[in-house]
Amino acid sequence: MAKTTNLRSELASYFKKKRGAIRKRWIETMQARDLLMGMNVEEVEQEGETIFNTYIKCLETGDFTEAESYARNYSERAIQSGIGSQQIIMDMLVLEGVLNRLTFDEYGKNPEKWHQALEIWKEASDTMFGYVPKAFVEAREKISKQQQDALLELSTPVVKVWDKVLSIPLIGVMDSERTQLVMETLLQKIVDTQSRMVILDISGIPGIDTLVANHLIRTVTAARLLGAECIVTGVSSNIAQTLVHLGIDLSGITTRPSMSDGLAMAFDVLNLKVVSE
Amino acid sequence: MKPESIPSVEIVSSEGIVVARQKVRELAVNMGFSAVDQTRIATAVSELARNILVFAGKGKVAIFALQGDRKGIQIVCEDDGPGIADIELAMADGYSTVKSLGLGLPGARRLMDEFQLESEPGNGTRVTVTKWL
Amino acid sequence: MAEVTMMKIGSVLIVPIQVELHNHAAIHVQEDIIQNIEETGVRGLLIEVSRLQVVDSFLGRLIGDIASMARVMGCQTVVAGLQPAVAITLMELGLHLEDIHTTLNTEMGLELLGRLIGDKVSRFETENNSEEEGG
Repeated sequence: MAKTTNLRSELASYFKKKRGAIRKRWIETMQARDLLMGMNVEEVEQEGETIFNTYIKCLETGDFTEAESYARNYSERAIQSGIGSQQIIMDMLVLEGVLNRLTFDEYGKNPEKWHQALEIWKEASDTMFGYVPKAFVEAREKISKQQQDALLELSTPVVKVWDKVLSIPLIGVMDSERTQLVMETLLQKIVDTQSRMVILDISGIPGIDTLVANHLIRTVTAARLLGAECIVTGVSSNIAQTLVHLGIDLSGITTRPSMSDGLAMAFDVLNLKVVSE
Repeated sequence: MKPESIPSVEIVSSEGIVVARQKVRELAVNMGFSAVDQTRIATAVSELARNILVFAGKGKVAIFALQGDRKGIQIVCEDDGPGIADIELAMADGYSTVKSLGLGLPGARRLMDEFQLESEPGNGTRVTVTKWL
Repeated sequence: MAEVTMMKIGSVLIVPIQVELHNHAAIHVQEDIIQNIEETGVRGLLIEVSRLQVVDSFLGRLIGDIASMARVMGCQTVVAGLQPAVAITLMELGLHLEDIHTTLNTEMGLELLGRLIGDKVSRFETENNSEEEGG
């Protein structure tokens, strides 16, 4: 055990001593195999430097937390700049080849020691390597979730139409997730703008089911808890029939035929008047 | 991967309820739950911890960060109290054996994604709730 | 146990709740408020809760109880500044606080209380005046 610990630190310091040679051979190999993939030499060197330092640290300490967070960090950057997982995998494979040769140069005459050394650095490099695909998948999921959220947000535009009056036109198919988001976005906006009246226009939604209707009722109730009153406008004959057939009670909810009727009512409640000169 | 656990919170007085919901909120913030979910989780913990105090007198709340393929928070509330004779009834809105609103268990179920209740009269109660990220 | 400060402004008692209350403290606050209403004879109670991040069924019920007690003493209650997340959670818990007036902030709360408890005649007059100004 003490022997491998010694060898571990011996290896780490040996690699550190050979830093210059490793980097040179690494870059040369990458260039020779045309693996720079649009990155310039400085960028690759910088990335290589970080990979190398992280690797040595893991080799020295046997702790791979840093390697994992590096893999995560690199993956996120790579996906955003359009580089694939191929780049980092090739980076590491080439590094592995270089280290392999160096170890042979140093310990080749002593096969037993060479094997031991091989086992030590290979374990470190395999572990570090293992984080890459996982980090890539996670990073991609994270980014696609962000894009989804952004898209959802776009589809729920809350507009401040007047001081203390918000309007939210709901358009398209409402599912449970979207209605939930509408509720959360709207309530936050009510507090941010300190709006007392909200016009919820549903003329743009093709249909309604019990779940969505209940979400809408909850939105109105939650807004009321904050101190804002909702007016639901644009209830189509289609939706009105569905609501009654489903037995959904909308008696506690203020409705007006059109958006402009809703606005007129909001002005009325706020003691505002529109006057033509 | 094993779930990470923060030291469980002993519920022996109402201060414990405040500590439990502060701890779970802290974890929810760190894991990136939305503001509404943070509040949902903290409120559910508050309801369950209060149940422990009211019905069993003491118990504990264990909080786990689930870091596997699906990330989330899991909370296990345990006590050695009298247990629940009729679980179905206890889960009904507005049912209460003490003077309360009877919203504790059904409310916590609505606030969380998963809810599991194990109890036997005389053998204590364990409630496990989960919220997925 | 002075966890909550109370301010009397005109005929309104303002109670900002800013810290997380555990049971005993909460019940203590309830008693304090009701006693204060009795002593001062205020006609309006404004509870400001914008700093509260969790309102569970216990605290929700407590606030509801305070409002009911205040009402039978001739005092109207307004809860001001509920956080959106708290409002959503309250509904999901099944607590609708239907009998309580709510406003977005203290200022709107005072305005509403003014209307609820204000002298009807003077209110009528101000409304008429503002209409004349507007027209």
